[in-house]
Amino acid sequence: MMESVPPALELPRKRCAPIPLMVKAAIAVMGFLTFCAIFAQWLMPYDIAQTDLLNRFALPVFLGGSWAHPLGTDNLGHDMLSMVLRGIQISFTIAVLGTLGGAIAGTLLGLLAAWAGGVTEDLVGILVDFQATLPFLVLALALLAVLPDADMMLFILIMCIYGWERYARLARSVALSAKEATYIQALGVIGAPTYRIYLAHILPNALGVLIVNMSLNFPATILAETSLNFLGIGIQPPDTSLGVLMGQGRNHIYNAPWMALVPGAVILVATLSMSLIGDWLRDQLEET
Amino acid sequence: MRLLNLEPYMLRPQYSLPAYILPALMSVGIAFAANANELSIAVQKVPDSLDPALENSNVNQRIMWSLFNTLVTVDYRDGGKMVPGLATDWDVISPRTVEFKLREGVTFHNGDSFDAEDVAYTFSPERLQREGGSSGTTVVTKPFLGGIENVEVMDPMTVRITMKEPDAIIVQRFANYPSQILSKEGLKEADSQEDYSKHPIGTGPYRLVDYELGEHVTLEAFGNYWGEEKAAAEKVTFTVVPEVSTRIAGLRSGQFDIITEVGPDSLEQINKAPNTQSAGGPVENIRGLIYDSTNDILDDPSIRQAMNLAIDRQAIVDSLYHGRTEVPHGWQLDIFGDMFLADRSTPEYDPERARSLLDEAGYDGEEIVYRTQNAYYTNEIETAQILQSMWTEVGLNVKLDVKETWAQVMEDTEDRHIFNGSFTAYYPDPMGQFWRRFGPNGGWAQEDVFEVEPEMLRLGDTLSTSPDLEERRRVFSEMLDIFQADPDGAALHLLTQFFGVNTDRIELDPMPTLYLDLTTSGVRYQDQK
Amino acid sequence: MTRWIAARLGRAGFTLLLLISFTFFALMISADPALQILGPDAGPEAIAAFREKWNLDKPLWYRYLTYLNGVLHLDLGLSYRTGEPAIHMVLDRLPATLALMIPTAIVSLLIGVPAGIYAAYMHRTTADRVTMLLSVVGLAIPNFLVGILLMYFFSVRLGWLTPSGIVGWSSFIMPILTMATAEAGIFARFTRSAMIELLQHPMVETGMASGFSRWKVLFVHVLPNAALPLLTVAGLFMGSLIGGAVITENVFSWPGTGRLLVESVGARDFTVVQTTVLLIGSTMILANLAVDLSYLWIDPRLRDARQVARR
Repeated sequence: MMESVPPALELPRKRCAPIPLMVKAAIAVMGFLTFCAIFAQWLMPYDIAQTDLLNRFALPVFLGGSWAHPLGTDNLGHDMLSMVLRGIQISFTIAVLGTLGGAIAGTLLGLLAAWAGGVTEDLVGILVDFQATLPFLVLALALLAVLPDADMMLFILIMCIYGWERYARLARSVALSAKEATYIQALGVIGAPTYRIYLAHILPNALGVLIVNMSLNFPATILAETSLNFLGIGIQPPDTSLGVLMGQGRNHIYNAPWMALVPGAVILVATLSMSLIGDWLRDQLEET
Repeated sequence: MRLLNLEPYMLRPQYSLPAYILPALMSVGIAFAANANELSIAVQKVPDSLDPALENSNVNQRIMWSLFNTLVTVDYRDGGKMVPGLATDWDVISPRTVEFKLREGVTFHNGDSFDAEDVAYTFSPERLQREGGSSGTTVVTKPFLGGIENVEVMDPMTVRITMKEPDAIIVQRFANYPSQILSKEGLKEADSQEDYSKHPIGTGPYRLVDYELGEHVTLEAFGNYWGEEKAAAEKVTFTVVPEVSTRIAGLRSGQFDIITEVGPDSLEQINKAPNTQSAGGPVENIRGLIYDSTNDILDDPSIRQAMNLAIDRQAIVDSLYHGRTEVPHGWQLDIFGDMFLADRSTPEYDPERARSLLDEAGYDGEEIVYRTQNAYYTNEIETAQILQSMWTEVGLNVKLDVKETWAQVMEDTEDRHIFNGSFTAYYPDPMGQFWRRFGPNGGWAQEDVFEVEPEMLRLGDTLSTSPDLEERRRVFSEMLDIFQADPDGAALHLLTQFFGVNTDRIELDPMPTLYLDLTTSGVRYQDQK
Repeated sequence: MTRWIAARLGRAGFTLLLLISFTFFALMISADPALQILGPDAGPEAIAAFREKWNLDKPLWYRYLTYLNGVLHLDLGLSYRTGEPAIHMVLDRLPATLALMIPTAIVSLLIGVPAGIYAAYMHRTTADRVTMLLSVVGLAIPNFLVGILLMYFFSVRLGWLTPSGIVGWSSFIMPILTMATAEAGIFARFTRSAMIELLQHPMVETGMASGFSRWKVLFVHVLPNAALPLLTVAGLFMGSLIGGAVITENVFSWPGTGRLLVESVGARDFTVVQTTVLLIGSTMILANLAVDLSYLWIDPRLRDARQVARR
């Protein structure tokens, strides 16, 4: 979020201050959630396609239910633990792909602008300006409204739009200042191809800021995804995500509060942990 | 050329911020709607248009009963008997013609008195086949009143209506939707037809005071109402609260007296609280499925038969609806009265036979696509997922395809196999339900979802035109038999309409229909008992 | 300077044109709304009549020019759903949204800025870390979760507040709190980092050395200078407020623009979606432009830059 860009910075390699306990905990939580996301298929105790009409709204353990369904069941008798695991998998996939997609597209456009200058730079600038005119949620709602059949691919593509302009700005300003550096100019003089100079020498300069930005962008992407799905626009059942689960859960907030509170808690823990990690990374970067 | 003419928008008082906010700020403290004679109702949506001829929706029907009357009234509290409404008497002169004697001394909300001219206007092509709204009224009214040939004013208090063809349900047509009578004078006072449809003038127990799309509809008791049961409240506000959880919160906190569209799963919670109770139950509408038989997989009737046999309807009713609705006896309801075939059983559940039928048909796991929306109907996606598992049980390979709009559901491509529908009995007769939907004039036959067999067509003709009750009963029974062997759809259960009621304040006695009765026969205040 | 302003204005104008074209072409690629609006029972004549009525049968360039001309006259077409002018529907809902956004902005400034100052003043202490943790929680917790939890406790459990619509002043409490959790977090973080940067400025040490108290230096010298970094996030803040309003209005059934947008998306009422997007976009363009122009008299560096340019 801080747009002040320190030129040519790298992630600290030496002299790391001890990692604060809070950040260690956050890293552990993210590690655990990522593990769940990758291995959800094997961790799920039940098949989420199967409904069980005799076992609807089973209480979770912490409300006095049985261990057969540790997080209870939903309105169709789906095991909530399995649903949440699947939700984590989908939401993380969307957030990772969305963040990566946005980062790659934004960075390339930023480098392109710095390299080409002139009209190209102006065009990228106009795109950045345009992006700044529409809050992401509004843009995504408008796009999802007009696109005929929203599927998962399309949804991920739309999530890629989120925050691309920040990478573009960062990459461009880092590249512009790196261009002035003596050794880069020297590379140009000895005839190294331009694309190599940009990708092999200038890009690594920007990597630190870009990674920090990605770590801060990730939780925001999760929030955007869950918000859209909470509004009922985006992924449709039987596919699910943490946002879809929240959206379904709120209809049962009074008779089965765990349906909304369990995925809600997972969303909160994930975004909070990732923000803490991102903040810490940024502090490290700024201190070197 | 004027550029950016903001003036009309800036100066209109309702857009200036203080004028809007101040009243809200000044209303003191926790201003719940506890005013003695006001009724505050939370609805999921208010209609886009209040004209019955322009919008056929549950949200519109809910308000219609308060604003309008029909010539003949259906007494839903007495088995759907037809009783005098705006007409005191009627006479079926021939299978094509009916004559109504109109009630004297009825006043419209604008003070205009009711007579034959208003009836003639209500059923005129000028109103029923006009442009307006987004679609015009033809699309909405044709299935119901498209058969009217002409309306003759015999004298100021007598009207004679002639249909193009003999009509077995000629009187019912003028007792039910969309035959609500509107004032002819009211149209002249309005700017245009379009404007009139936003504040139509009727004769009902309440008159319209305010209508803000997407926000609220406000009604006020009409002092000169002709009926015996008067308006129960002085003022009624239908407030839009799209989220069911917010509606329930509003009921529990005392903000609303009645909330609509409560999911069956929330009823228990509402009953548990000390100040709230649930009300309502099944309405005269069958929730069903439609099979597209024009594709390679479903053109075999035995596969469709197997699909029907695989559905455990009672399990759906018991679980998703907590037993608070019922499985119909085929495509009919007991409000059909004399036309109700009581000896027909509910649809059979026999997974064994379903399996063997599939074997015989040589079904080999071909993918069948079931298009559904998320929540157009109560429990829609839930029911779809349950049906999918029931079908999987007998070896059918059904894929759910969740769509967001009706256009996407109806899109005529190769993979349109199964989709959802509901079958309102607009008339207490198979003509108003089964044949309206599965007959040759129904939307689905017109859109090539299935073809109506010649034998069916012949029987349907008799059903529509014959005045002989015994013959009609026999024909209807035969039609149901044919349908069972070669089904174009499946009847699941009766649709429901559940309310939450603030029992500290009122008692609600809903009718088994989408109309909401807010007269003294439907709503009683606790302190006035 | 005039040239700089002209360039900014030109760029804003161009972005506006881009926005208008975007909303037009977004509408173009949308599915034919006829079936959706008319319902599954509509026949071919009704669909043809609908297309003719809404100019859907005309060539693209004709419709684009008609649309541009319409936008210039603030005539953005009629709602497919109701036949009313879309701009009326959107403007009708605007006051309710502003009535949420303005108090939220004030509340989150009142909470966030002092919290940020406090954290900066207590830099690297436990108080700093706790304040920052709270601000991260505020940012990380989904808006809708806050709203639902508030509603559960204050409406259902305690029965103190009405959960939907505008009934009285008390109706504002929960929606504003919901939106302000995130916004106050944003302000706290920005204020803190801006202040910390300034506190390291030599001027502060000079001030302290000349015997002023730390607080006095903070308020008299540092705070005014922190206004500029705060201003740079005004655009971002506005966007986040609008996004927050969309969610919050839907949770609390608030009769504002955000709910209208979601409602219209659901009903495929494209003209209203288009109008809402256009209104939000042009507001943001104006806000960003205002921020840029206000640098002119706040930031001395820009005045210097002007002199450099003259040389």
